[in-house]
Amino acid sequence: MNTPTRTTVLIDAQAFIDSLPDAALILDEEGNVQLSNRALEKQLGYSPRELHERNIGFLSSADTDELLVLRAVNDLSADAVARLRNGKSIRVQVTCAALESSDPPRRLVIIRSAQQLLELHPRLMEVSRLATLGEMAAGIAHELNQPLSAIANYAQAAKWMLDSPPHDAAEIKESLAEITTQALRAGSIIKRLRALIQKGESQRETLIIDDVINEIKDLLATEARLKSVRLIVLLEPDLPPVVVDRIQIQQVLLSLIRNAVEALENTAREHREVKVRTALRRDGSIEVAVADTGPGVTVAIEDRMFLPFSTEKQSGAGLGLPMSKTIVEAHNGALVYRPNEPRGACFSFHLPAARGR
Amino acid sequence: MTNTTSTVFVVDDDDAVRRSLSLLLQSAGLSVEHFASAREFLDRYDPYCPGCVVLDVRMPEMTGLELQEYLNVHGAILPVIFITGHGDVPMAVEAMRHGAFDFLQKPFVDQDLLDTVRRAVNQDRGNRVRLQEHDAIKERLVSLTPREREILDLVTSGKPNKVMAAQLGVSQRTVEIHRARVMEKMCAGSLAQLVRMVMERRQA
Repeated sequence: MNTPTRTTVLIDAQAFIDSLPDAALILDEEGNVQLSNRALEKQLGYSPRELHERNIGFLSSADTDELLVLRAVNDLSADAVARLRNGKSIRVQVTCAALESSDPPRRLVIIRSAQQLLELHPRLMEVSRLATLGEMAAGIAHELNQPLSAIANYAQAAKWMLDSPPHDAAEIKESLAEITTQALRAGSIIKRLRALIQKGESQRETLIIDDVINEIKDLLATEARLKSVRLIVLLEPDLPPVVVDRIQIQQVLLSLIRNAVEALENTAREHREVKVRTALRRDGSIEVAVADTGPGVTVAIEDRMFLPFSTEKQSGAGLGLPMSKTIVEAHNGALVYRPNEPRGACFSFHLPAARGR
Repeated sequence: MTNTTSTVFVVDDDDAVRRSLSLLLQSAGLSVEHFASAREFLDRYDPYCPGCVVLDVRMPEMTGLELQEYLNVHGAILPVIFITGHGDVPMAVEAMRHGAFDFLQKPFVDQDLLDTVRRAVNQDRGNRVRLQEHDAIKERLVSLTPREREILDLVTSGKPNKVMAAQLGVSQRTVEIHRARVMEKMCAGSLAQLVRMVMERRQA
């Protein structure tokens, strides 16, 4: 005689999945929905009634691989694109578990949107951002030291000129003007730094990606300079705007460029190059690519590099890439890796262009 | 060929730091030339030009340390003063190990900078004078005949004329004549001076 499973005895399956905070489904072996929960209705828009006995395949976004979600379901955990009831598509993470004692076999599927992941882990994101900044502290200190040194030099030069008449008033004035310029330069470094450190609500603005990059260009240049890496920034003019959280996207850029610079540590100096490039993709989305000329990513690492805490580096928490991926996906974009030609790694992300233009 | 005024060569890729540093040194009455990269400096570099180099350790492409190594390999005698930022201690140590004259941390105290630069310039001047002396001594030594050379070696090792005469199988008078010729050819006013010249030659 069959022993009833403990769960069926203890609680009703529908009540169980309804109590989950994430969108959840129970599928049969063919991938047909047996049960779905309230969170799923709230997040994706489908009621349990309309999902019942429908194949999970319909969840796949129309503009992507039809079987994406289904394939995701066959893995333990995977990224997919889900189609909402209102026709929109969003990036999701699908986690799947076989309900072991169920007969016939059933699987529990949990769907989390990238946005939801971010909302669930605001603190994690902040830690990651501050960690990135902490690692960059040396560079920032150095960058700030430059205008300060120049100010000290100009002030001392002006003093000496005054001390040894006859002096040229125009020359002294020029020194004073330079002091102003350099003080403003130091101020703008601090302003940018503050903006990056600032904790705050996620704020979406319609921005030109080139401007977002230009704001942190000096910081990136310092980072590259300190490691004797040639940094080339090629910004495509007249790109359509994107709707982004400026700080989050800058965090992604910092993270990708830092990784690229670090990857060049054992590369001969004359071959150390990081190229940041923006472009308009054929599908109308905006791409930002960060390519380096380092050793590239081995297959073993490629499989794990987007997972948290799987860092290969001596320092760092191993959150940079997973966090970047989550951020980009929360912006309805995607972050991908491809080998760089002829050598090295290229990480690129693309974001949809702002609508209504 | 030999330029008599010493020049301070400032090499730094940061425009503001380089220009302000040059102005500061100029306002203290020094002759300054500045370069945005190690490469630019090397294009202009003249081994006969006296002075010193003020070099940023961190620069793209060719770093300050690499430029120092290049100068060392090519036998340059120009003293090198390194400018470092915070946290560049390991680099500074490395630079000193390779014979850097000194290093200065940004931002500088004007008097420290000036003192260091002046010391470097003076050392360079002294080095160049000494090098010229060495060359002169070398030329004088070459002008000696083999017998005079023998006498020189014996004189500077402290042998009296009588002993030398016996050793060489000549008269004391002959030794005295050779000895006077050696002193004259070496432009030595005293035995002590002659010994010093020979010692310096050996050290060089």
